[in-house]
Amino acid sequence: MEKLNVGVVGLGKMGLLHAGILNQLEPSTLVAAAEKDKLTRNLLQAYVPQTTVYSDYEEMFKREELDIAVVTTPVFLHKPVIESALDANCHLLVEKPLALNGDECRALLRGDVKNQTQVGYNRRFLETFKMAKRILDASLLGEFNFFQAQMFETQVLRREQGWRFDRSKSGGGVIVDLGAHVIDMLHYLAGHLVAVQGVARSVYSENVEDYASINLRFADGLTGSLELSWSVRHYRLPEMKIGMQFDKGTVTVTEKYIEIYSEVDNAPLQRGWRTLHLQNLTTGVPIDLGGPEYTVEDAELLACIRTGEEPLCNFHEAAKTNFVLDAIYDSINTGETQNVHYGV
Amino acid sequence: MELILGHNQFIGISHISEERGREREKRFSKVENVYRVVEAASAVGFKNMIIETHPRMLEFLQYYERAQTFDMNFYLQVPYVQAYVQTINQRGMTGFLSEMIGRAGLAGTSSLALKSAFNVLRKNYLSIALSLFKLEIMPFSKFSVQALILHNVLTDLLMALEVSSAFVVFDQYVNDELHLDFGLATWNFSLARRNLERWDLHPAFVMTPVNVNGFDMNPSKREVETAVKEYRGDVFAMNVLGGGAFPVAASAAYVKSFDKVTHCVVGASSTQHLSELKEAFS
Repeated sequence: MEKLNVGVVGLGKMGLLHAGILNQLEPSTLVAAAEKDKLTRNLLQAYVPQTTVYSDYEEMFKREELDIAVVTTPVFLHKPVIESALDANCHLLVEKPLALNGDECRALLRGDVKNQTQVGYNRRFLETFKMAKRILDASLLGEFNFFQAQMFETQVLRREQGWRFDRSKSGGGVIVDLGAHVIDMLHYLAGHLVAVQGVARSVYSENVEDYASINLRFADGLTGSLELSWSVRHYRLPEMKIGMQFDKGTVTVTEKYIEIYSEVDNAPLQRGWRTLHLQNLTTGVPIDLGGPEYTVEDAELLACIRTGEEPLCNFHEAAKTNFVLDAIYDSINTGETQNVHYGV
Repeated sequence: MELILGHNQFIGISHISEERGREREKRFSKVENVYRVVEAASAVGFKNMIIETHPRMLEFLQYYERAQTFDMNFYLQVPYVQAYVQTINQRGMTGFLSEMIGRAGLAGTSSLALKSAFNVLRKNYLSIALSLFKLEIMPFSKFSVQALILHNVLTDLLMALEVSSAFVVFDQYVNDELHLDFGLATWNFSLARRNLERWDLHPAFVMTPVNVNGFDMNPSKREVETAVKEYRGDVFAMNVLGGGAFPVAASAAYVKSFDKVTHCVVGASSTQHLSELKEAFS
């Protein structure tokens, strides 16, 4: 099998994680990286000498023969880096969200993207959420009527520094950081939204929101609510929780478990309560650096490069979340319900 | 097989659910409650415990030293990755190092601060890492620490990027300067075993998930089983009970089937559970 050369742009936590995973998965290998921070650059060059490290990503794309570009920069750099990577004919793995806003996504998708793309909405690759998807797709509990979703984390309890807290660089606060994951999951589970209405509050951060409450309506009439914050106490890790009401039962799903209540015997579901933990659902992965879902996500991209099939969360799929985020911010700014305009 | 008491429950971690983690966090925010569980573990025969450099664990050790109603050996896992990652995310690598060097100065270890700053200039990054380790373990050094364990997040990233020199340097430092055993934690035992043999490295032990369901056994349960059997060193089993998701008897029987597994890390929060585990795994 011919090796696929990987170049990573941005060596933060996610950049290092994907660098490690793709260095171990077959048939990819890490050959280059680009990073602005001199210390990080020197560190990688000193101890991973088989990798050439650049300060300028354009220089990396010019000099290296890359097959895959991993984009793990701050969000405001996604669009220019993606454009350079596409000019260099690379397949792309991009951390979420795809870009700062819907306009940037439209510009990216206007061109004819022939290469394979995957955006890092990693919870799609977790077995608990995959099981919820199977229940929905097979209508095992009847109609999906209502949901309550939340995603919380203890991260911001004072004024913090960095690009995440600068709206021009991040696109927004907790709605982008955590909310994008939930919006993507709702797309994956329930399809297209038609309207959103949101309120938000900043307490610790100067120009991005720390708390948000959003009501959502889907094309088929499904409605629900979403609560978001990175400033609640006692959430050691980011936790997404979606409680779903069906005609014939309920499902509550998080990263760690799925709890099902069924009023019917409808194989494989049985009448009554059942809780399945990730420990009972997950099989091994070739390399685990922070959760099997990241490896499955990266491995899926490699498989799609080989087969020509579309990755589960390609640019078209991921852009949908940006269009919803735009509508949520419009609603917060105008105080009115906003229709969602999927731009592509 | 020797049992080691795990510490996850004491710092609000649960593999079952975040709700359970929060319940534990609430209970064990009172350090006396941590102490009572560890004391009960000692009473049923546990002699060893794993701790991280989490502030609560330091508070527990200070309580342990004052109360001193039992003796326990400690395996110290470093670094405290979550805090490091958060600082690096917010301040970048340079900002992180500046903060750590500043902390060394504030801690009254100006020679360590100067040495770290000098190493940044000399681009001697592994020496910087060792200085950070020194700073992190300093408050724990007066307790009966038996071994230092490199956290799986760091072990696995270094293994994946094939940074063999880091393991050589850490091993020498822990053995020669700290006079402690050096162990590795990993969620990728097959890869770790291959690399350790290739690089001719012999840590005192490797700690890795070994459980009846194959949870976190990568790349597969079967491959890890084979690798454990063929490994020439000691293996410490972790994630043995899947945080409570797997039955105790079947879990114990499975782990005991491996000769190379000399120690087994288990977590418990009640005397009854501690006794049950001691009986099942002995």
